[in-house]
Amino acid sequence: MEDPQEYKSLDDLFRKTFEDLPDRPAPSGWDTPSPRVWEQVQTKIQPPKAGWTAPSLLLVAGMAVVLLLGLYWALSRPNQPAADTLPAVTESPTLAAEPTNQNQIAVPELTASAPATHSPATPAPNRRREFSSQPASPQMPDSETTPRRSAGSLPLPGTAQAPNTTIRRQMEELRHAPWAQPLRPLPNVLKKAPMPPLRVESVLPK
Amino acid sequence: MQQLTDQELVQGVLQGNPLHQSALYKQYSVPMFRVLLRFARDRAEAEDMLQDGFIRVYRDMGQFRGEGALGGWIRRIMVNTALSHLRKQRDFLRQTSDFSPFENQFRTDEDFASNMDAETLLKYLQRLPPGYRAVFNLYAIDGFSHEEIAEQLGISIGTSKSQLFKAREYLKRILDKSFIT
Repeated sequence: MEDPQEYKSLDDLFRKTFEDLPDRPAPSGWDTPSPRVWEQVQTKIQPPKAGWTAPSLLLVAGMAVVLLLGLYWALSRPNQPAADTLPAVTESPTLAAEPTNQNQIAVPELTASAPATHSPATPAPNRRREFSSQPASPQMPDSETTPRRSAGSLPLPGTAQAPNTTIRRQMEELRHAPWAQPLRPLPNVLKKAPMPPLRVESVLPK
Repeated sequence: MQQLTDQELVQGVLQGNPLHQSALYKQYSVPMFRVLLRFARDRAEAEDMLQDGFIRVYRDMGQFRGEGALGGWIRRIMVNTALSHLRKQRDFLRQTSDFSPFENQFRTDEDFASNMDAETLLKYLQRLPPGYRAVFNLYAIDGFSHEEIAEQLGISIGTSKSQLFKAREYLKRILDKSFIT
């Protein structure tokens, strides 16, 4: 639909007035933006400054101080009693290369009869069940050329360590447990009061 | 200072040269500010639009393919920026049945007796509600069709036509009164 003439002239008035403006800004300054606009645009389009700035330096220094304090605290911390902590599992090569020791292998046999007094990390009934089914002696039958290793046994000389560190840790605990130490000999009561030799004549009826 | 060509300005801005960035702003800030003053309700809003528009220009300069004039490309960005500002206004395209254009809005001794220069016409335009102003600017001055206006503003073609009619009626009455006075 064609626009009425009066509207056309109105549109022409506005269009020509705004399009025929001179290139130079008006002396009154109505068409000149304030300098604040360019300042704001500049701050938005400038790339971030390279290098260290004060906030980044402060941040790095703060992190270094926290790290040093943490290290100092960790290193100056007193050692806790061994009973409170789990024994450290060391991957010492001497343990792997150590020849089978009679005493060490015999420990599980002792545990079968000894009472479980402590070591909360591993409950005693499980240990008993585990080791009671295993041979106490390290000696293997002669017929077997490659002896089978039980789950809790130490590695044989020249073989790699078992990857299961849980079992090795249990073994370490068992070896260091106080109830696993060799028992003291019983007091020798017989020496103080030796029994008289039994005589057949005194027993048999006359 | 020697006037830089559009190609030189584009290359310099793309390389992040501060001198070229400043030259581009100096060359186009005034004509773009004139465009934005028509869409804004006052000078402060037009400056906000100009700032956002130039940030877009610098950011999207890589998309300028040089097929047309750089000024036309920048102008399109400015108009789009103005429209997005207007769309954010809560009362944009509100029903203006209660709009009374002659109620305490002009002092006839100053405004109507003056010549019909751009500054005076701008004052009349800026008194319009945002919807009237946007549609009249796009249709009468920038030469968009009602279909394009409806698409850009997200309104129907009928709404665009009615907004244009009301804007024209209002401006005609103001101008008639100014000529009588």
